Amino acid sequence: MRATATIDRDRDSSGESRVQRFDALMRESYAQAFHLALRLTGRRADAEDLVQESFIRAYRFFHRYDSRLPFPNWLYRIMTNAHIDEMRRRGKLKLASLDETHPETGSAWEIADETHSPDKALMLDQFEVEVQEALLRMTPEFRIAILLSDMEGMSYEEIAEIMKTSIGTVRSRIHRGRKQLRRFLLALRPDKYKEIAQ
Amino acid sequence: MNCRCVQSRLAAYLDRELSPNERAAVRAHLSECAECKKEFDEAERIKNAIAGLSSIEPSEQFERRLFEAVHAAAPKSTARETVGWGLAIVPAVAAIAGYLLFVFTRSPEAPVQSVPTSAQSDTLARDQAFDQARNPFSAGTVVSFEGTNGR
Repeated sequence: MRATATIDRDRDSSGESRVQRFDALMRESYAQAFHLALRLTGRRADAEDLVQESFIRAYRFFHRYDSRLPFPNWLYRIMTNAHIDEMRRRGKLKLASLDETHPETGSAWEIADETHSPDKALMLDQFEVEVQEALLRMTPEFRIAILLSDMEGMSYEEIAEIMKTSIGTVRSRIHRGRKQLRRFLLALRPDKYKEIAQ
Repeated sequence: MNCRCVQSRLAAYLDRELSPNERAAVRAHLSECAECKKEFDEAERIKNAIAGLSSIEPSEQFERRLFEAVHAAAPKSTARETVGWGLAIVPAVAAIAGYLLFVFTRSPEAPVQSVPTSAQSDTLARDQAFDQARNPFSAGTVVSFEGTNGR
């Protein structure tokens, strides 16, 4: 039995099938999802993989989606988990503690990795490259919280729901993440980013 | 409100996530404390830098590739099908178990025993655990049951 046939049997009052509903939602949201994925990963190929993986998971579990809630929020929950899974798979995530500082370095930064540097050709200018580099050096939890807040404009409550954590943790991640981002930029180009830290 | 309290609330103040009373207290402190105001300004610049990142569009071919990949991947298995079959099997298994129990335990001297519900509840528990393990928000979890793996 093909899943499409199974899903197709469920039609709403307008006669639209679940497949049609999912396709419409996917068409509406994939570009914005790509934008978030690109900032999470820093690379076009990785972003496309992440978006694709997220929609595949969403499609398989679409029967669990509560249509009263915004579809992007549900999708982002899947996407951010897929991103953390991927980082974990690459061995780039320290499993000991996600919210504490690193026991040795005292920071929440990821270790620099040339294979994970941003696609410089995609970025508008050098400033974007450097901000993107700073984002990629952070742990995924900090990066996700900051991007959902500052780029997607989501409330702490929405971010907490997406990240399955408390509002207090979201607040802490955003507060500390912004400070770390500023410190990274300042360390990278002291003269250039002096005004940000002054 | 002292500097420490204010600085721990700067992100929330900036993002308009404080209650009206807290917001008023932070605002009053910022108007008097240069150090905290500097912290606030720095946080605001970083927020604006992230918000101002350019929006990069996916390639034209990506939409087609995405739809093809999603539709191609979905038929492998779906939780809906799994759960659907699981739920369909539960009463069948329970009925067979009940029948076998009836046949093997019935004797002229003994009264007919009722069908135990443990087989059904075990199956349901396993289906639920399997379903949870296929949570879309996780890459996958090892399914384990209490009493069968020493946990």
